[in-house]
Amino acid sequence: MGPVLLSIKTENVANQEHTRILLRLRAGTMHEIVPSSCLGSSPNPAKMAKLLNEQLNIDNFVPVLHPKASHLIANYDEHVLVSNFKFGILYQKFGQTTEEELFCNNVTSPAFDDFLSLLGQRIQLKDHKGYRGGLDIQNGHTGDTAVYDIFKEREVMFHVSTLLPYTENDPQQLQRKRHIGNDIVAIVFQEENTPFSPDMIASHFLHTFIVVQAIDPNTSNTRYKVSVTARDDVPFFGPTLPTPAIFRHGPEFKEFLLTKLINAENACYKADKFAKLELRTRTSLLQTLTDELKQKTSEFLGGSANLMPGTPKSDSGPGSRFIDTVKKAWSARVKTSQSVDNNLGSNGHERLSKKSSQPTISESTPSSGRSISKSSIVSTGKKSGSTNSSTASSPDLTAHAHSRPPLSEASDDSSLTSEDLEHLAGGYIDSDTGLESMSSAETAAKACSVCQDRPGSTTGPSAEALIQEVTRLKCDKLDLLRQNVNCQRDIKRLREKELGLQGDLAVATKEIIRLRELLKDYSPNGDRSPI
Amino acid sequence: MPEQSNDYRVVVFGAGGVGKSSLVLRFVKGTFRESYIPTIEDTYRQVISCNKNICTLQITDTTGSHQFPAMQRLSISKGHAFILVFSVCSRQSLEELRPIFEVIRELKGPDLSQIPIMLTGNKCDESAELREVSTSEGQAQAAEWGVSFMETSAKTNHNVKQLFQELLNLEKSRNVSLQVGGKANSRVAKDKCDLM
Repeated sequence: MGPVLLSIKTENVANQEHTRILLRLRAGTMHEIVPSSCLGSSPNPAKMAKLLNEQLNIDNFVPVLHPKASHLIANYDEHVLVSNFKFGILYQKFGQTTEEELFCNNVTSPAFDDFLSLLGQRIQLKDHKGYRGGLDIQNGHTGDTAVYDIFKEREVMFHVSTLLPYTENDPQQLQRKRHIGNDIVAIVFQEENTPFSPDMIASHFLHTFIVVQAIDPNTSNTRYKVSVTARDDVPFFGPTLPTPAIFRHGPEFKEFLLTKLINAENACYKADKFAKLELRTRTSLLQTLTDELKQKTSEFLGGSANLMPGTPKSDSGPGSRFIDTVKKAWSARVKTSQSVDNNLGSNGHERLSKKSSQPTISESTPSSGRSISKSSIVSTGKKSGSTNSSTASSPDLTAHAHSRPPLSEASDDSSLTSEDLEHLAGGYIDSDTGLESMSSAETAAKACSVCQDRPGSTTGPSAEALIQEVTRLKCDKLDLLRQNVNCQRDIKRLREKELGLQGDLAVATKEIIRLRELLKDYSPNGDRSPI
Repeated sequence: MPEQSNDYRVVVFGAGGVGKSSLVLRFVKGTFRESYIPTIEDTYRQVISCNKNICTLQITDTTGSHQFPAMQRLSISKGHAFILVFSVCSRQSLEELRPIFEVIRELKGPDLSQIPIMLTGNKCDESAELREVSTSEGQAQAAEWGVSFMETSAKTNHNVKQLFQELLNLEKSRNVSLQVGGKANSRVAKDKCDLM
């Protein structure tokens, strides 16, 4: 299962204390808000982790303590955040079926220009200061103009094939394909209905195409017929196409289309090719993060020497005094004082914990313990200053575990949950529950226990079934609560919108009355013109 | 495939359409494909010699789009040697290498003298009127960055093997070479790679 990083924060939602839990695995990050009562009388990280992922059996979470910890964790959480988008736009004439034909279309048309004006602003590249999406804003190597828009706080650059430089004698139009072919989502614009298929264009990137066909272009009745085609492994993304999928030329269509494009790209990240790479990147980043956090914590706490088991506590000086204070401050089930050192000392345990033998941590290598204990006396002298001040000022305590592989296989339903949330987060920009709010920068954890828990052996078989039932009910309650929060948010937003519209209505009504008065003044016969 | 400690990882960067995949394919498979198919990321492996032992040369062919900065940074931190490719027919492609070089410097530097980096001007087979970057300009840029320079053509197979051999020669911490078995420290590139 790999490294596990857990963040916890208590919050007040609807006058009830809740705990927000962020569980990071290499497969993804899960995020829930649970009523604190769900966690029982003595909550601990193991329970919380298990709530989010039933397959997790970790009982030795190690606390993370370092002033920069939340910054590092936030960086990790936010490495997937995308707020810049680039989409390709191809122009397809009737009967064209090859990518060469598509890329070589050099003459734009009024209908196409009209459509482009709907999507965003025509900008001069050399004056452009925002996101450039790979286009050249200095020397005009990628054309003079482009279409750009800022949509819901996201910058969107369009790679319009007819605005990119045309190269004579180049059937592939490399200067156009190297932008559009590297986009993940593209629009194909047609004026007459003609077939389009994704395999017309050879590219590993392009995964989704939105085909827009203009009906009665450049008239007051201009409409667009929309269809979407994507590779098989791209999951569904909204907003759903209406039936029939025809939109009038106007701001609602722009809203629909841009939302659809952005959601398309986020959905495409779940397709095989991208998901594999993302998994690899995330695994590596999480491993680096947890290693770094462990190392920084042990440096901060006064050197790993103090935390090695087998080191008599009396030798260790101020470093272990800090541990004592911490122990008292947190409600931990401390079985023996030695077990505290076991769990906190991470550096020396690395080899052991990787070998997945949990209970044997207490029997760690005595020889290494002894040799390091000599240096511990030296190092504590230097670190004493920092350790004393750190008790008060530690803002984030995030529990952290180097988990040994559990008995069961890595769970698959956990990835569903995270997918779901990520989908919500990145996908539906209408709801604001984005990954932004999930970033642990906000989770300055108030409570975190040093977990000495040795569960499993104490509960009997019948109790297990009940526990599972309770967990299931907890999850249901979780869902309902989440829905509740979402609904409340929606209600609030709709109310605000309603207020706004009412205000507009009032202004309009006043205007009508005023105009009626004016008319009365100006028509000598007292005629009432029907306004 | 998990990384081995005796992997030697070469990462190829550059703007879209400059010929990264073509260079790598020409080197690894000896083939050239005229049609341009944008890559997301591909990795190839080849056996080479390293300190008179066998080790694996792992070549990562990256995307020309700046779609995945986290992935790019990861490739740089794990890489041992870097090939920065531009097209001599596109000045913009040379300019696009600058931010990538900056990230390499940030993650591996500031002293890059121990890191083999090769600035490569590809498509040197193109006619003179299409050329936008002269050989001397390429050399000057390489000198400014403190890296080596070479012009190549994946299409005509000019300097492709030399590119990789030179890159390996730049590695100081161990003796890596395309020659497997036989001569240990050959500085002259032969026309064939000995593959096990």
